[in-house]
Amino acid sequence: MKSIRNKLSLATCSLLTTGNASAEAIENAWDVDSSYLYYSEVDRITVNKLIGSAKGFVSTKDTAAIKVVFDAMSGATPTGAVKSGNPLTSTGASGGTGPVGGGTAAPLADFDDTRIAVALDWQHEHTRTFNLNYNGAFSVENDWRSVSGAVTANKETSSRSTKFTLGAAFTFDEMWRTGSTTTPDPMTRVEDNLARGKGQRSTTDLIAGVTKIINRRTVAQLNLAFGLANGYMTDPYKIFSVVDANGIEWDQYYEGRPDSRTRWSITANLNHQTFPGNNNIHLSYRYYSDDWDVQSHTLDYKHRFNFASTNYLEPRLRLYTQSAAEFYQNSFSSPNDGTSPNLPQYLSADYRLDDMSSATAGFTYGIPFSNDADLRTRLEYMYQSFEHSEFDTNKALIFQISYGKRF
Amino acid sequence: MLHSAYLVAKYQLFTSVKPMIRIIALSALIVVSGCGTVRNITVKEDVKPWEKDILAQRSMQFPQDAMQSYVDDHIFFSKEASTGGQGVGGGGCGCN
Repeated sequence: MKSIRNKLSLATCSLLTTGNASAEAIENAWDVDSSYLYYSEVDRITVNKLIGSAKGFVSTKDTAAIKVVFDAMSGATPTGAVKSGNPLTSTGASGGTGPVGGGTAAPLADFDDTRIAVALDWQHEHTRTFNLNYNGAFSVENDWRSVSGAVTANKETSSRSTKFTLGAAFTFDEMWRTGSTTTPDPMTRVEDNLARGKGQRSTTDLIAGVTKIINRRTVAQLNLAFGLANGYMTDPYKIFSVVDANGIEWDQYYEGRPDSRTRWSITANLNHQTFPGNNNIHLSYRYYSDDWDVQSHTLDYKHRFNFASTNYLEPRLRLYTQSAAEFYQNSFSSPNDGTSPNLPQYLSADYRLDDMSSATAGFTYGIPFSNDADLRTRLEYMYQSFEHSEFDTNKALIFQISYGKRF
Repeated sequence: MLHSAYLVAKYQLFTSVKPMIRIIALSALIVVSGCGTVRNITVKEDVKPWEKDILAQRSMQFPQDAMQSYVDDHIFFSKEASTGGQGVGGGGCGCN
């Protein structure tokens, strides 16, 4: 009976998001969700992730939510070093990759790390059409600490057909190399092992969005996002090779990146239920640009086939392409004549800053149960292709299973 | 002999045209279907509160599946140079 009441309340009162549903209509309704992710790259990283979340009304106008995440990561990751003249793999420190305390790095370095993250949400409905959402989060790794706070305001028109969103977030990150409390001095020789203190970075993110009901079966959203990061932006484990005219490495340096980054993006989302098939189309496009000269296009399409049994099958295709950061180079070419190479101010051989194309394809199968619970399983394959990187492809399997229940 | 050549020519025409017709028919079907869907998406309506049953379904929310969206954000943030666009908050990680 309670279940039917909840469904009716949701259907009549929830408009643009479940989070904005009238508190009075769904009193005592709680959503509990859990998920397990297995992510595995070919010959590279494997991640096991566990997530638990709970969300519910704590008063007629207040919603609280908590999310707890545990990650276990292990495997090998590219350091930035070239293959020529190097053994392929070396053992890195627990929690990190690459050389710690001098020495040289292989193109791939083993690592393992764990991460625990907790996020808290509080949403207060000030009026029928206006609410504020407060978010706080922190995460801890062997070599990283992050704390953040965010406020998001949602204002709907009186007809509740349009919602305006304005959000701001501040994140403070602190990073160091596992086994020490330092970060390497950027653009210095690996062998010299020059170090600084912990790296610190502060990031401000802003978002402005409009969500609009187009018709009874279509809702669209447009988000404009801006982000400004200042501080230590370098990866303390990444290096690059200095090579001669034949591409043979003769020295290694720690990478160096600019100490600020300005990003902006525009994202369009569309949800539509087809007629008469009653299947769901989810379409998303994002254009992204930053002052490191990275531009990207992301197209994400999901088509949910709803079966008579209420189960559904949702194939998905995500296409992504990006241009390289202006300071990206796979290696630095300089003659091995006894003089120091004339390095630029910034240089990184991190493959994620290279020209890249990527496709992710797969499907989700969902099984809703009669007791307000549901099981979702997804299987996807990601293929990344890089223009200049030492490892020109990366392939990964993504398996996720989630179980949710509403009380 | 002439009749055989005629039949062969007719058969070749049939086999060459048939896939083309199939492709045209399929394309036409996709276009018609696509046009219909595009029309259904773009036609603007004044939706009354009691007509919002479909819009209230979980599959019509942004995001459709919060768990999947959260995991996607983490994976693609770790593996690509760009990020953001769906919201703010939630904390950072050392994966990129």
